[in-house]
Amino acid sequence: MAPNSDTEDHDDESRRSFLKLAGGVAGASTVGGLAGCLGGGGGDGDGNNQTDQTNTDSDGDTQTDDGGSSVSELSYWAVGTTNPEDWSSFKDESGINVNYSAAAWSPGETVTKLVQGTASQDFDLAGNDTTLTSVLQEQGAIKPTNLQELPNWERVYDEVKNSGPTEVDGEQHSLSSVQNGDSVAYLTDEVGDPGSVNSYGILFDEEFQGKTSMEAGWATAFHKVALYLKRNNMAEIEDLENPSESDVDAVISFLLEQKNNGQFRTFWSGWQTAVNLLSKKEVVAMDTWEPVVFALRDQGMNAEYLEPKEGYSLWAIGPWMTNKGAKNRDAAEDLVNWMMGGWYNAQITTIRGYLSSSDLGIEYAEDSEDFDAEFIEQRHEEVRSRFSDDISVFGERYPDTFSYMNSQWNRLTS
Amino acid sequence: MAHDNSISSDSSDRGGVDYSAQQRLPAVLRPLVDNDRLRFGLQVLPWLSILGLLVFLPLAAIFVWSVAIPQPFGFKLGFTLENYQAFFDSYRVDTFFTTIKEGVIQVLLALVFGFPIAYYAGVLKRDSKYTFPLMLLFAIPFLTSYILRTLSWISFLGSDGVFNSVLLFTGIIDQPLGWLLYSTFAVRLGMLASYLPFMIFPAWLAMSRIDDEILHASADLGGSPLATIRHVVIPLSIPGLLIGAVFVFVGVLGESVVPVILGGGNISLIATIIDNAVNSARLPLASAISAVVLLFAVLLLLAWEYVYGLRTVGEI
Repeated sequence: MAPNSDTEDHDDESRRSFLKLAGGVAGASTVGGLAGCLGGGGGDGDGNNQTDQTNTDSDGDTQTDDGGSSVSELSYWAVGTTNPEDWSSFKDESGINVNYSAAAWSPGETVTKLVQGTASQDFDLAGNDTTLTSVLQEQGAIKPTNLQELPNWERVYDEVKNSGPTEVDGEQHSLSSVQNGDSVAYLTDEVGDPGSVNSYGILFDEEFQGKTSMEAGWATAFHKVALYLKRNNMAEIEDLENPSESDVDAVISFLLEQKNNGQFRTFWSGWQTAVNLLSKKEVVAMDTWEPVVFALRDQGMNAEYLEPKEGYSLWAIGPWMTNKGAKNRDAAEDLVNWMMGGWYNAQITTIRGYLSSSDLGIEYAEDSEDFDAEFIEQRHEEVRSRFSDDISVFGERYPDTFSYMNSQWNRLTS
Repeated sequence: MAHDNSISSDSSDRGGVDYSAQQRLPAVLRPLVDNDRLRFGLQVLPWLSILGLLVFLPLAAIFVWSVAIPQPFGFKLGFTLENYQAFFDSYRVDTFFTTIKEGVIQVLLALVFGFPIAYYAGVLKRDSKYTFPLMLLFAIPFLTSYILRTLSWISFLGSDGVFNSVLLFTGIIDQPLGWLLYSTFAVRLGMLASYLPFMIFPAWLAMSRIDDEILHASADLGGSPLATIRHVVIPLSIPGLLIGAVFVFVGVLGESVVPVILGGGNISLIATIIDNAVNSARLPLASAISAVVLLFAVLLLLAWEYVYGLRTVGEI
């Protein structure tokens, strides 16, 4: 049945109203411990309303409330960072299965597949660095997501709502579902305690020659070095977020000199390599992801994540609504709403230590034996402060000089 | 039985060739089979089709893309040499020369280490029942992931790896040797471990086919073992050694794992540059580099044909 536009709008509005109401009730029920009474069955607040909003027909397909589309499965192509590794909670609540496919955190590959390739028609949702939002919107590969109308949106942190890259022409095109401010992991026994170490300069300190490492990809590494050079007046950097060719040259020139002096042990890539480099003490300081520090501490090592006076390199990853997803909009937005909800937020921060999008995760964890609410709250506070300081930078991963950046960075790492 | 006998008799009348199948064909199709050239053409058609579909079509795409015009989000078909220019006017061409140099080094290393092993198995122990099973051991690494195999070297070459630990324990060194890992040495070692079997197997096969009588004749004529190797074994095993050399060299041309994992940014090979171009959404550039590498490999084969003739392959 072809949807009547008037009916669709009406239904949509009713649905949104109901979602908000249900979300509010469910949120309250989570706080008040009433979830069990409402038959929540362990689902979080937003989950209950999704169950209410979907009907499973006899052949197992789910009829969404726009009356025009029926989906039993959503395909989600995204960086592993946003993968909670268990989608059963959403399946239980909505009846919709999530078919997750891993994507590389590679800006060029992502843009190519979405703009030139068929990814926008193959997947309902795609999740990658949110700074790609603008170029993907310009090329018509993604559609706006009605985030403001989803019930959990009001619980999303202001730092996440205002993180910038997800909004194009006044319209929200993506939720920043996972984010962090990146810096440097270091071994305190070798480098010093946090009170005495506060700069990216430890990566380039002659004392640690041959004992530091940079990431093989430029996506976060570049901005850290640019921050270091600019904030310490060591080079002319015009634009930290969207670097010009001369900005790129300044950073690459500095790094090439460091490399030629034997400063870097290696250019690393991959989680296990990152952990091993520090745990085996091949290096003592390394530009890397924060969870590496948690892994080192689990091994009994004294490791810290740098609080750089020059500022963090901010990043966020979130789901875009593709052209295919726009045809299954209600189901796709239900999934986005779920990603702002309790279980997903608690899970993401627990397994990766990153900031998820809302405080619903903390609430969910407080009522659950599966999560450590204190840890989640502490991590959320730490990362939110990075997003609200005045010095950290949200660098473009698809800058105007993208091709030049790649070429020069590859020259450095080759 | 009578019927069988008649067929047999009929076949023997035609010089032992059984034409009965052709005779059973409808008359209209018989010319297709009777014509030698046509029959040969029909026989090779399936193979040419498969070859064209799986090999030449992708190769043609590489050449077409290599002259395509780059666009902000991909490319459009057309003709430009700027992709080749981006290769020849940059650090990338230096990496290509580095790759050729490393390929030659790997071939030499594979000969130095592979020849004695092949000689031992193919000549000295050719009659031992243990030779074949032992040689198969060299194939075992191919049953595991190439990346994991390469990563495992880190446990041996790292600062607290096996080699450094032994050297420190025995007092030979008092500081870990940093150059063992994340260095050109590590890349060469990792590649040698990967490509040595590609030299050993064809060399072993070539040597194992040298007639015993020839080896004995050399000894009977007073030839020392070294003289026998020089004047008998090496000349007769050259086809195998050449094939091994090509396998090793071409392997290095396509190598993108070992330098990234073990090189530490100190050495890079051309396949990594191609990977980088693909990941940077510069498919025309990647294609141009691939086309140059491919043409170089073809030139090598033509040189081989000019010097030795490709028929030597069949002499193994």
